[in-house]
Amino acid sequence: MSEFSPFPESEQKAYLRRHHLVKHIGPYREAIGHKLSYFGLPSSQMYDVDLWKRDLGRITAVERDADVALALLRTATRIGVRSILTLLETDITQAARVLAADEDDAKLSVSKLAAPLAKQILDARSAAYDLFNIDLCGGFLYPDSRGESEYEKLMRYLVSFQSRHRQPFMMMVTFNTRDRGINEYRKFIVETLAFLSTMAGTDTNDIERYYLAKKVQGQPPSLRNLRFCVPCYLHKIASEKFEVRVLSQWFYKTFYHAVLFFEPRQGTGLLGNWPPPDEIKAVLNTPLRHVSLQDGEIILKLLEAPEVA
Amino acid sequence: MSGQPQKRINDEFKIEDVGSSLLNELAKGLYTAEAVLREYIQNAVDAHRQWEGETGSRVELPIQVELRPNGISILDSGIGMNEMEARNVKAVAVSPKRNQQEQIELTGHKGVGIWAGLSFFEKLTLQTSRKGEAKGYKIEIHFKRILESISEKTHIGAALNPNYEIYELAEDLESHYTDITLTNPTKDSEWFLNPEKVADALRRIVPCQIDPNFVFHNEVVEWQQKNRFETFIVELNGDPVYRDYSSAVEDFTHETLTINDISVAEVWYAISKRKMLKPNAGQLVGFRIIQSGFVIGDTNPYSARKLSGFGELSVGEYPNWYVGEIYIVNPELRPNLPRTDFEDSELQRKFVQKLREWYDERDVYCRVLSQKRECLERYRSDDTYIQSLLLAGAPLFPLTNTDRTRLSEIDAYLRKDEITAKEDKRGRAPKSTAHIDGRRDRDVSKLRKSMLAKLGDLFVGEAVSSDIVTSSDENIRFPLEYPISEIVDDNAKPNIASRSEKRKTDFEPPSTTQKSYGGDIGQSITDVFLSLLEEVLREKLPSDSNLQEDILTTFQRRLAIMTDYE
Repeated sequence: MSEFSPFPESEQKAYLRRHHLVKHIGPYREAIGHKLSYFGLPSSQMYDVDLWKRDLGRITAVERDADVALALLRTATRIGVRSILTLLETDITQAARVLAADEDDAKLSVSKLAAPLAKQILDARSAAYDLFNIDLCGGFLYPDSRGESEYEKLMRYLVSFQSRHRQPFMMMVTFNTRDRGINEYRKFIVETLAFLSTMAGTDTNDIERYYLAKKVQGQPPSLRNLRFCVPCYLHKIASEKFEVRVLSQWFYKTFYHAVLFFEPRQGTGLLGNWPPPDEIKAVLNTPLRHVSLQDGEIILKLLEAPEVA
Repeated sequence: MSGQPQKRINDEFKIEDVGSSLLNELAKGLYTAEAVLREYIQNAVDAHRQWEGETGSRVELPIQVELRPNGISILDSGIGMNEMEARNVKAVAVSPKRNQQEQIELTGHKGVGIWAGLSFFEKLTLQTSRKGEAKGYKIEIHFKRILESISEKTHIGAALNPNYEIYELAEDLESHYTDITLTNPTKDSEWFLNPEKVADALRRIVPCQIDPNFVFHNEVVEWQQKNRFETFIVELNGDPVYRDYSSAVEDFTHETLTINDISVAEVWYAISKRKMLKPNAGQLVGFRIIQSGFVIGDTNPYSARKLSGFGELSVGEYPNWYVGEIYIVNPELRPNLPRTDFEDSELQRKFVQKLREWYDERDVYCRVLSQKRECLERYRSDDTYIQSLLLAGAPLFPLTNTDRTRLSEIDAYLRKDEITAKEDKRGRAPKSTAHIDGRRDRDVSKLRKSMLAKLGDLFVGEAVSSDIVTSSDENIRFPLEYPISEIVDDNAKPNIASRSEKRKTDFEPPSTTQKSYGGDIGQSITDVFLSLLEEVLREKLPSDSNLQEDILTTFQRRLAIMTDYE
């Protein structure tokens, strides 16, 4: 089968998949007592699914390229997961939008789709997921000509869908540091730190300097933007319904990668809560590791950042 | 002119000589949506067979049918194609399969498979790879554009060439597969995108496996393996597709159909346990003819009572009482292009004739069985009734009028059946002898005899006891539990529950030892009764008759049974 993929395989990615299996996926499956329900973009080779398949009970894959989708179907059969796979051959943001929609809107949306896709999307939204692996080749914000960001919407849709089910879930995200919208990132960093300073009396000067510095050895500005903005943004949009923790975060080649855990928030009032500053601090204090390959060996290096006290 | 020398001019057909309108023949009416799907699956099945033939190992992966948002894909993990084969795939009605060795039995042989979807889809994409080659090939044929460019003024090449592309791809050396994707249905699109309809077609027409839940799954699989009839793992959207038959059947049978001692078909079948089977929830009923794994025609082909050119079937009503498959084993019996029938031949005619005779046999058997079941059902019901009378004490008490009527009816029915079953069926058409054969069955006959014997006992006993006890009250129980003196006195009717009421409660056996007869205390009621009976018999029957003894023996036996209950 043709091995074309916009996501070339690398030793670093393979390392992270193995790491997550041992450190995150296996323990999570044990903790919840059943196989995980997966939603992601596994591409034609389905490397992640292949490695994690013993812990997966349901797979929803999204792939809009027809050729890649066909190859994915073939791979799914070869690795023995076809029977638990629902393939959505569409754009992931569109799929997520239908997932997040309420019942009537979803029915209306799928009524315009071809019968097989409509059925698959309805199947996909029938139950919540335990694990998301959103491995996108582009940047996170990457604003379009209208100043809108597809992936920012995607994140909101997915969190919204999950919040309807009020179940914990794990989310792995991968974004390219080659991105656009630097001013949007900077604005968000400044506003978030101002919030922390006001609400928690945190001294954020050093932190702001680090994140907005033009140059930090081994940590390009775009990486620091993602390191700050991706988990903080996810915390912001989910905090009313979920407690958000960053389990681990990584930098390999040009990609920022993080594993987050969302747990339904207990004791939320009818009017909701303010985002707890301590949780934001914990998010920002999660170590980030650089994964590189030297002489065929994986090398891990901590990329330090000032601690948010 | 005649006699003049002729000189051959060098000339040959060129693609320009063939008008593109010839393609219309491929496009119009040759296929149904179902047949289009079958053609592509035939290619996939043949690819698996060729892989097996070449490597000696089975393909463990399924033939995948995937319904996509804009079409349908058929994926096989068979032999795949090298460059030459990929280039040849576009050939119209020249199948490369024809040139291969004959050892591998292939289904497709017409060379139209790839073009089957010409009038059904906008585009065909084929991607293929052969093991051991670092290159794969992708072919795109724009069906819709081809059809749009057909005209009387264009030759076939002008219609095809601009709408055909082949690409080379980098491939893994180990890969061997062919994927066909048919995009944007232009006809029957609802059918192609409907998983239920596609699944229904697949389970009926392609060589998928027998459902593991079918009651005779193991028997059929064993029979298929013994006869080397292949099945393939087929999946639709990841779910296995099975050929499933109704499990309300019994008597798994297999046989060989021969013509002039030459095998033409192997058959397995099973018959309904009760009545005509109805297809439901994807379960098939009736017979289907299978050649090289694929079905020919519809359910119960050639079973119509009247079929042009063939004798009329005697009944033709019962094929749906069966489930079964008829596998063609004679390679001279070949299907026509749309697989609705066989190609015309002498053998085809003989086979159809043979098949119709076989249907007739199945029909007769089914009628016989039906009659047998009907008989047994009624007999068993009647026998239960007779048994209840015996258990309640008959014939030692007078039967009610209702009982007598019913017993007479049972008797008449049994005797009629006995006569019917003895009738000679020679000279009768199968239709009229089926009910005789049903009643002649050993099980039926055995039960009939046993019931007639019981009835004999009842009637004889009844005749005697009626002489002893005369009562206008049909509810009076024969009196073994009461002093005979009470009973023989017409004015002394005991206030006891009716027998019919009694039957509803637990059986209470009559006492044969504790009751007295008149002043003769100590004499058992049984002895008294038997003496009385003997007296009556002596009066009523000729002295030399064996009947006296028979009746006495019967009564003694009955009494013994009844006393056993104590």
